[in-house]
Amino acid sequence: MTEGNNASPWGDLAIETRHLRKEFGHKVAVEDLTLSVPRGEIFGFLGPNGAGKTTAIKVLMGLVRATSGSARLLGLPPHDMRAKERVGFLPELFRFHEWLTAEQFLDFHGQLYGMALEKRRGRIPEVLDLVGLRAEAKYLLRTFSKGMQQRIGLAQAILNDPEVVLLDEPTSALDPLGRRDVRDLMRYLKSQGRTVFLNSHLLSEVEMVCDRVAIIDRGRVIATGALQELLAAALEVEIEAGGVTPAALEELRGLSQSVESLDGRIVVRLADREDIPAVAEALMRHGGKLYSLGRRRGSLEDLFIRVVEREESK
Amino acid sequence: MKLLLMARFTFREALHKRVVHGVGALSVAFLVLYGFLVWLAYRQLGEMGPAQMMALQFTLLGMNAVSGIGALLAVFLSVGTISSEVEAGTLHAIVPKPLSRRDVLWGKWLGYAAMLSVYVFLLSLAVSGIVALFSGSWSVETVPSALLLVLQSLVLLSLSVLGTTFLPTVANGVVVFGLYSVAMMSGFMEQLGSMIRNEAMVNVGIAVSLLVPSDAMGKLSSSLLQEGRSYVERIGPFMVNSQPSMWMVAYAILYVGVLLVVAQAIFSRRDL
Repeated sequence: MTEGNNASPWGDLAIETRHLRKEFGHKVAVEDLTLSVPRGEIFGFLGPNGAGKTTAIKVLMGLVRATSGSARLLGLPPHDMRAKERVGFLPELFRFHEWLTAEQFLDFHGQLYGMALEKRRGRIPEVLDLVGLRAEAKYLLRTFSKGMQQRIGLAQAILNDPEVVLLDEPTSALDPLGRRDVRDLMRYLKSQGRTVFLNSHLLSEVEMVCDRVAIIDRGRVIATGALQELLAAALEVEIEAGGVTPAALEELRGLSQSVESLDGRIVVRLADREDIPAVAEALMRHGGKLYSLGRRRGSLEDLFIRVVEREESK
Repeated sequence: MKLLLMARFTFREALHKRVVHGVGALSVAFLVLYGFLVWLAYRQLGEMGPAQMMALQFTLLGMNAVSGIGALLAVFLSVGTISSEVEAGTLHAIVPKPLSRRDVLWGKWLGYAAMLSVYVFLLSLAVSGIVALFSGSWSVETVPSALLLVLQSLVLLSLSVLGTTFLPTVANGVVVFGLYSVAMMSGFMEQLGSMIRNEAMVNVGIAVSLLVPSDAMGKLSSSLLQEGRSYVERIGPFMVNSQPSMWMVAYAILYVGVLLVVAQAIFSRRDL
């Protein structure tokens, strides 16, 4: 399902793109991206490698110019200073100024945001706390591990208390504990009414925190919507039955999108809840013995693989 | 103002660069060696008499060395300031902040320009101070002459800043040093042409110095020191026969401005 735009054109959205296209020479990085990210949610931006995610984020951050189409941050074009002041960004591959201490680094970025000295003095210890680097405030960035660099990157992204935070692979260098910290941070930002736009390969992580996702491939959105609705739409039923005849399986195939059968266990994927009784009825009509029948909640990974494979087989 | 913030930051950052530490150490070694040579020469000349005459030659030698080191520093400081920071992703965290790309580019230039100006000016004064110490005479032309060397380094800095907006770091270094060498060579041709009264050679020299006015600034700097001196005093490897017009100073300043405007236009359109 795709988000409708019946509300005011750019009004309540944190991020919106319309028919965004970016070509590098002959290579099309983003083909036709139309995306709506409501405010106050954690939005997962997913897709296989080379799908155009980082390019799309770079367009939103004003690092790359779109070939055509439009992009809006908080209703403003990406180059607009009023948008830049209210947005935070953690780039994917970065190397910060290694000759600075964590504190000096944040002070410089605070000045780039235009924060006054007083404000910086108050805010820097706060964000160092939030990313768990309070004790390392006086350390040179040169001495930081990859995980610590990612944390300090997060700190500069939230330094100005932004309304929207775009995180490009924020946990790629972190261990499981670090990842949990980042999830907690994202939830905290959401509780403060902030919007988090998360590009991540870690689907389990996305599944844990995101309210809404968009899956893109070849620079187009191939699935988007509220995460719980998308997962619920992937309706799977697991059946344990005996005496299932080929004729019964044949009938099940007629009812469903896919049927997998192994050792008396059958997993049937259905389009509609009303098909569940029909499945049970068909099995029994063919003389099968039904021991159990349960609905299985699909995982984001299943959904991801299914929609991407469907797209790529086109 | 964000431009000045970038300039201050760039200046501080440069203080942490190895190339600056290297050039700093090199400069100290140079001044020691230079002082020693001048001392050796004066110890002998003092007995012979023409010490006053040699003061000019020593100053010219020292100033030419400053010019060379200044050129090196100008290029090495800035050769990858955009290109390598795009590669490292450093700019990806800076450009999305509420400042324009113009502030980033001009701020970087200004930071390096401040460092070069201080460095080249102080080193020039040190050179002429060493000569003054032994010869007992100090020429007031040293100050404008040093300022011209500053301008020369700013011309090279601006070329390098322009190059780094669209060329990879190493290619930019090669191109800027290439242009610097071509300017030096055609400057030499111009002097030679003037000596043998070959107008074509002089014209080619002038044309090249319009394209890359670095050597013209160096020649002007040298010729200022030679002004009003006798032929016998001036004769030597740094003698200027064909003095570039003083309008070249205005031209070089304009040239720097135009390069920066072009660099800004390229950088503003570039995908990072």
